[in-house]
Amino acid sequence: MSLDALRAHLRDLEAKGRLERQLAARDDAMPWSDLLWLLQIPAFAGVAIHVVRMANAASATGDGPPRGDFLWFVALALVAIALNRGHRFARTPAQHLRQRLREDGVLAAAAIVQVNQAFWQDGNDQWLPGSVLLCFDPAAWQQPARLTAAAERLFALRDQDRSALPPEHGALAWDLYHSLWPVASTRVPSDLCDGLRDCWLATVTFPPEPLQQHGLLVALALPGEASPHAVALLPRALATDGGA
Amino acid sequence: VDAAPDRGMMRRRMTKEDRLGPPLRDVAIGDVQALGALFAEQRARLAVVRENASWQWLGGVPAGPRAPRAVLHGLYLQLAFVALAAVALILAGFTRGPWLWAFAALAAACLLARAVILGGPVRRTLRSHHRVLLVPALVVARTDVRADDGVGVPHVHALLQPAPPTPASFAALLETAARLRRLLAGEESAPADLEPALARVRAGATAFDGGREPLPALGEAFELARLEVPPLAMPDDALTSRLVFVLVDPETRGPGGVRVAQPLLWGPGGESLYAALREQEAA
Repeated sequence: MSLDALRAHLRDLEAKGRLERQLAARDDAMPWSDLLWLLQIPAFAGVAIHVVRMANAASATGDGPPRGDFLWFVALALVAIALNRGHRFARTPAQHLRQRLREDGVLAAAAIVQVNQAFWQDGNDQWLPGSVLLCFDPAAWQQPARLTAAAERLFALRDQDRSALPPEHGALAWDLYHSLWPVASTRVPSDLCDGLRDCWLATVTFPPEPLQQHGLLVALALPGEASPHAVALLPRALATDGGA
Repeated sequence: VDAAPDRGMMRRRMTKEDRLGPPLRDVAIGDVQALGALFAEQRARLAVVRENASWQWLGGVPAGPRAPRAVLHGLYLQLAFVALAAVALILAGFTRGPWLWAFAALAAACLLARAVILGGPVRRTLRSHHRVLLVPALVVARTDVRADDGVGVPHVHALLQPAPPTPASFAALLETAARLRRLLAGEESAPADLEPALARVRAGATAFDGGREPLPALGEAFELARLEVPPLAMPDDALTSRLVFVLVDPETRGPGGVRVAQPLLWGPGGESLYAALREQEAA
């Protein structure tokens, strides 16, 4: 599947509400936005019941509905519409960012820098933390070896004396060394990326079977956004979901 | 919880130099330079957690002895709110009378109660997460208690100093912990004002709730913490050394003021120091 086709497929999944559950979940068990969205069901049911009762009363008396009943209908309808349209305002900043990621994210090439050892075990079925070198430069897809070599160079920084490194390299070495996940992504200088532009060191959760394209991992990411919520590795199952 | 207040303040506390230096793999007990680098690195690790609001490394939000109950009650009240609000919304189709307003009021009460039950612990925990120090603690007494799953969970008394550690303070801690162990074993006569504390440790009847008490008889800086050491929080999945790195809230001596830090906060250098103390004891 081409990258353009894959992005179109992801948009299609998002429109059907099936993309979120395919990406790594970092939410609380019961987000308020979901609960408020669910409450629209009884709210619309209440509106329907009131309309039926109002119509029955009107047909029995032959008059129009009383002004109070009509205003009550308007109030109930407003509540239902507010729940339908407004549940998104109950999202946390992280949920907002992930929503933006699913809607506006671009497909970026990614190479493994480091990952939890359990990822390499046979039969691993867990999502595990790790770091990737993320590249928005289209040249990375044409020459994947450049990105994987850069990722290896980056990993080698981890065991170097950070006081002897240039400050930008030292910051990357520190991020890899402390391994505390998740942290904000860090822009990688192009001299460490073999001239590839717009590369970032990002912490992600690795799906058990990540999607690969041209020998590189495929990430959905928001360009220029450093939050760890602004990047997600795609699982292989996504490419087959919905028969695409 | 998405909150990360006081980020600027935390940045000031950690200097950029804290994260510089070579990777620490082997830290010897008496190596002053390596110990200084280790404590600086641990400060930097704590700063990373705070800057990124990755509170799971400090025990989550809310944290503390009553936190699981508060979370559970918060969950129940959230579910109750949804159920009551759903009933109220459907009832609104039938009536504008007292039944509707009773259910609406109950739903609102659930929201309010949830904010009260969960809000306090969340705010307290966040304040504590911004205050805690990562310090070494030395186990002076230990009892293994079998948990429901059959795994032995050490209940320990550990000596610590609730202040930023330095190589000198660590050396003093080692010395004082050794003396305290001798006092507990009766190999040395104890000062009269220390006897009540020693009796409490020997009796082992205290609650291992992360509380601590000062021991002025041993020095102004020293305090004795009582805590559970979850085996999975140890580098080798069991407490095999006298050393434990703990998170200590300098302002809270009560329950939850001390808890074992996760090994990623110790760093490989901290783990090597843990192993060095184990080997020293074995020798």
